[in-house]
Amino acid sequence: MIEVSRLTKRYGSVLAVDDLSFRAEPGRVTGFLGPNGAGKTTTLRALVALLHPTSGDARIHGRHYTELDDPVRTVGAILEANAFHPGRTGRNHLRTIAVAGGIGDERVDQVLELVDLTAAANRRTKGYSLGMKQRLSLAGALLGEPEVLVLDEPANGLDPQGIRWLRDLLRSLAGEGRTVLVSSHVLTEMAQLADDVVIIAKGKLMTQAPMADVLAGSGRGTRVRSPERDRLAVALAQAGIQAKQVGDDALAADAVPARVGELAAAERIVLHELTAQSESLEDVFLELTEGASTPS
Amino acid sequence: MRILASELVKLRTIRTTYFLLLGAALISGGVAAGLVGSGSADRGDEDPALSLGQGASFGTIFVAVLGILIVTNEYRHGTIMTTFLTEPRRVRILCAKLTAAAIVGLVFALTALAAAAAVALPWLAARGESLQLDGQAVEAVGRALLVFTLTAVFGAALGAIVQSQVGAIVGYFVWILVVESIITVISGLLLTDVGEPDPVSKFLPGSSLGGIIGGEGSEFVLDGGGAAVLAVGYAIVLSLLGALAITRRDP
Repeated sequence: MIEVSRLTKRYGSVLAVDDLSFRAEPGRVTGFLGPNGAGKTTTLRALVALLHPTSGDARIHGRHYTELDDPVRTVGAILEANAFHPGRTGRNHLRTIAVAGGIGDERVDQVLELVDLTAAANRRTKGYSLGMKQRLSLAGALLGEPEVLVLDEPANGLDPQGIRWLRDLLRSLAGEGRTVLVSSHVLTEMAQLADDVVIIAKGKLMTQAPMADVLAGSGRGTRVRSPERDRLAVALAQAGIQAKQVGDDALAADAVPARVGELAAAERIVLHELTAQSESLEDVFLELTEGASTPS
Repeated sequence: MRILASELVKLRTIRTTYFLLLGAALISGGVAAGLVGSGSADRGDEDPALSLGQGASFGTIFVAVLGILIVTNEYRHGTIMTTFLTEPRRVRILCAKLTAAAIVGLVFALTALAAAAAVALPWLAARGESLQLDGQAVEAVGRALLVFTLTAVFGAALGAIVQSQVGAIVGYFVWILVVESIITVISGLLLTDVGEPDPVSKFLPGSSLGGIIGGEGSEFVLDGGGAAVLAVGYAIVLSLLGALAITRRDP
């Protein structure tokens, strides 16, 4: 269980994280979403005590990271995909963590196998591709079989198969009851991965909700096409349904298709199209972060 | 203890450690060859063991660099974050790194002494002379162990203060080779007659290390015991500053 409460981090005049509160529950994958520069990395670093928040705090199982008895076995984290000494082999990199956490070499071999790096384990990391480095980071995070995973953009640099593999792995880790908090600015990978989403922009919480609610929520509407569009618009307005014009002869109405169809039938208005519109996560995201993000 | 063991694994698993160790051995052996070859090892009023020990101490430049790298390598490559994840109480990490530096110092000292002995002993023996394992030899070994260890600790503490690898290495050598010389010259001009030891420079950090080594120019530094106490004091002050920097400044 991860609890961020009223977290604020100020760098000079820049407010990187602004009074942010959210939770990530055990047994679920929580997607932590936001445009680049929204404060995701700052939040995750504060969670594992790599930076001092200006105010507020972040707790894991009710305790600060610095108070954990055995951090390596409690939390596995990726904060930076390419944090290796280039001259050290992948296996030796993992050994530096394992030794510090009191973890044996067999577990090092196990995680190497798990991330499919056994063959490259004795090569120095400077020869690794970005995807291999990402998998090595993940292996490091999994060494202590932690109950909580904090992963900052773990899919960066993975190919499509890699992303699918990661998705399956994280889903199965959550299935074992672990808490998985994973940040991303790529929305499509989240739609199939996360149970819950936390969306932030400019350091502020935009929404926290189960993924299904976010997808099903506010955005449901109907696209309707009619040769008598203006008459339909008046009828919708009289029924208290908001609608706006789309293209030459279509309307986007803020109601379910059945309601729009019934209304048109009652008014004897001919329809050429009546389609349910469900917003993608992308639309929700853009809507929520609109104005809050600076175009890059 | 686990984080100290991890620091030692880090040192053993990069090549730089071995290159620097080789450098210390070569320079120590080279200086020993110079001392024996020129005859100064067994001609001066100093015991040959002491001169060889002093020669071996040229290897401290390599251990200074490695001491600095113990901390700054991690900042440079971002692994400091992984290290802090394994032990979020950063002062403990610094203690582990300072201890690792001290161990490295002992290993480098023994290697440098072994290299000096390997060059000098057969050579002296061929001339019909031999080094005796007397009090002087023990003192030479003790001085070398101490100066290598403290130099490595200085380096690690400086690395924690500066955190930038280039900054710490350049800073170290500029301080030792330039700044202390300038202070010595200025204090000499202002406070004493030409050729007389000035009252300030022997208390500088570099001079405190020089005082432990002893040998030529020793009238410009404190004697072994006083220098050792001073150097330990500097090591403590630098370590405290390093602890402050490492906890205050986030990676």
